[in-house]
Formats: sequence, structure tokens, C-alpha cells
Amino acid sequence: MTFDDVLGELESRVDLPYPERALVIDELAGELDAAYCAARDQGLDEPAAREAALKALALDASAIATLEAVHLPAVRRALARLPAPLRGWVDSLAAAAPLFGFILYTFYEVPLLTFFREGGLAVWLLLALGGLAVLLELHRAVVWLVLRDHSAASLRRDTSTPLYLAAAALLVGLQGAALGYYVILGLWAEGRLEGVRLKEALREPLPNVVVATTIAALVVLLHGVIKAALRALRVPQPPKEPRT
Amino acid sequence: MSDAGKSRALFLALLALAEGPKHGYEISSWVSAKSAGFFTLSFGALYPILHKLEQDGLARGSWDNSGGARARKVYALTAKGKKALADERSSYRELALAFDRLLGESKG
Repeated sequence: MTFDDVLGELESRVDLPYPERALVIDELAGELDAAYCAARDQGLDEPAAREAALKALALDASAIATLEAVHLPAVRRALARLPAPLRGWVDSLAAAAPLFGFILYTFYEVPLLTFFREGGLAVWLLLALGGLAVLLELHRAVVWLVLRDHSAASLRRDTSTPLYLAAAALLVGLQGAALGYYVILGLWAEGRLEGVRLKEALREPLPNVVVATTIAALVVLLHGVIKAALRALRVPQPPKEPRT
Repeated sequence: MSDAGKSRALFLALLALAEGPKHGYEISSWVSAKSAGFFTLSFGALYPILHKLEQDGLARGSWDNSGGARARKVYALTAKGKKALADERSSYRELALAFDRLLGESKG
């Protein structure tokens, strides 16, 4: 087993937030190197020196637990004081709060309801898909960047699901607008829409395009920013799975 | 490790750092050499202590790229760490004196 294998195994086993986890592994790599050099200086051959260094490094479960406790982020330390049933809901509530705040604000301050109604049923469907995608991204931001839970179970949620949902919302929006124009142009061809009514009708499918492109762009941006933040924290991409 | 063991390991790490900045392996070797092998600090015991010292502002860690194939994290005592060491040193001296008296009495 090489030093990198041992360090990789340790990295997947230790439940520390990044970048602390990466820094601990860097530190241990330096110590392994120092222990190996010292063993070589004492006259041990290469395999024996490697074995001596690995033996010196061995971190037992208690040492790992102490290290994890030392580096537990302040937010998670504070959350640990909450009752267990409430603790499980905190990240979901924290993720949903900004979205609901934004929805409430826009409904009260901007005449959005009228705008959405003009778009027809497709707008509500794409809002549901896009809202779910935004909620998933916000939940990831809270768990990975605020609570800094970088456990294997948490990082396993790093999927492209929000992007697929955003793509579906975009598709629904564009299809909704296209169908709307199809109907309007049909009515126009039959001579049932003219003058001011035609101008108004041409405007109606547009909310589908506006809402769909806005939500899709927002989800892609959020996804990109979260990915960039994870890379800056040195979280491995894809995440390391614990070895059994 | 027991609380007494942790406290002793912390004192040993502070003592090692009082002689100048060191990385983990150097601290462990220093303790073993200075105590003629009586005390040993395994990496498992040492790392949580070093990280706690750094977090509490008693030691400052920095990366040294000068020796070996990989960078090593070197720890140095801060002013707060020196004060903590002075307190620990006097408390261990008192403990040693008390034991000395007890052992002296039991001899007689």
C-alpha cells in the first residue's frame, strides 16, 4: 500500500469539513515523509522504513473522533444543542426561507400574478419544476457552504438533478409559448383576432419564455457557483466514497 | 485517552514547542528523546492536541517547504501559548513536589 493509498483511505474515513480535511491530509503526508526519512537515516531499507512510517501515523478511531470534534464548524456545534427532531428540519427550513421570502416579496410588490396568469397553465408547471430546482440548489448551499457538512452521505447528493429540472422547466416554458402562438396565429388566420386584441394576444405567451429562461439561468448560475465554491474548499470532485 | 493523559500530552507538546518551532514528527521524537523513552506521543494523540492548540491561539501553524518531498506543517508557540506553558509548568512543579513529599514520607 502506498502512502497516497493510505492518505486517500483516511481522507474518505475522516468526517471533517473541507478545506480542513484536505489540510489535515497534507499535514499527515508531510509527517509520513518525515517519519520515512528518519527511518531511512536510521539505516532501515525502503520497505521497512515505509512500514515504520505507516505504523507511526496510525490514527485510531478515538484520535479521529477528537480531530472531528476540534474542527466541528461553529454552526453545527450550535445546532447540536437543538432537539434531534428539530435539527433534521433546520437545513430544509434554512434553504426554503429565502425562496419563500422572495416569492412573498414579489407577490406583494410586483404584479406577478397577472403576469403568470397571462402565460396560462404552462407557467404554473414550469414554476413548480423550476422552484424545486432552486430549492434543491439552496438546500445544497446551506448544507455544504453554511453547515459545512462534507460527509460522504451529504456529498452523494451532488447530482445533476436541479439541472435536469431546470431543463424541463425551460422546455415547458418554450413549448407553452410555442403552443400559445400556434393558437393565436390560427385565430388570426381565421380572422377572429384583429387590431388591439391581436396585439394583446401576441403578448400573452411571453411570460412562459421570460419565466422559464429566468429560472433556468438562475439554476445554472447557482449550480455553477456552488460547484466553484466546493472546488475552492478543495472538496474532491467526484467525492471520495468511504472504503469498506 | 483519559483527561489526565490528554492534559499531560498537551503539556509535553507545549514543552517541545518551547524549544523552538517543530512539526509533529519532531515533537514526538523530541518528547521521546528528552524523556529517555519514558513518554511517547503517538501521532493519534498528538494531532488533535496540535490542532486544538492552534484553534485556541496557543500555537501558530505554518507550512515549511524547505525539507523533504512534501511540505510540513510547523508549529510555534504564541505569546498566549508561552503563558499557558508557564502556568502548566508551575502546576506540574507543585505536583512533582507534592509527590516527592509523599514518596519521601512513605520511604521513612
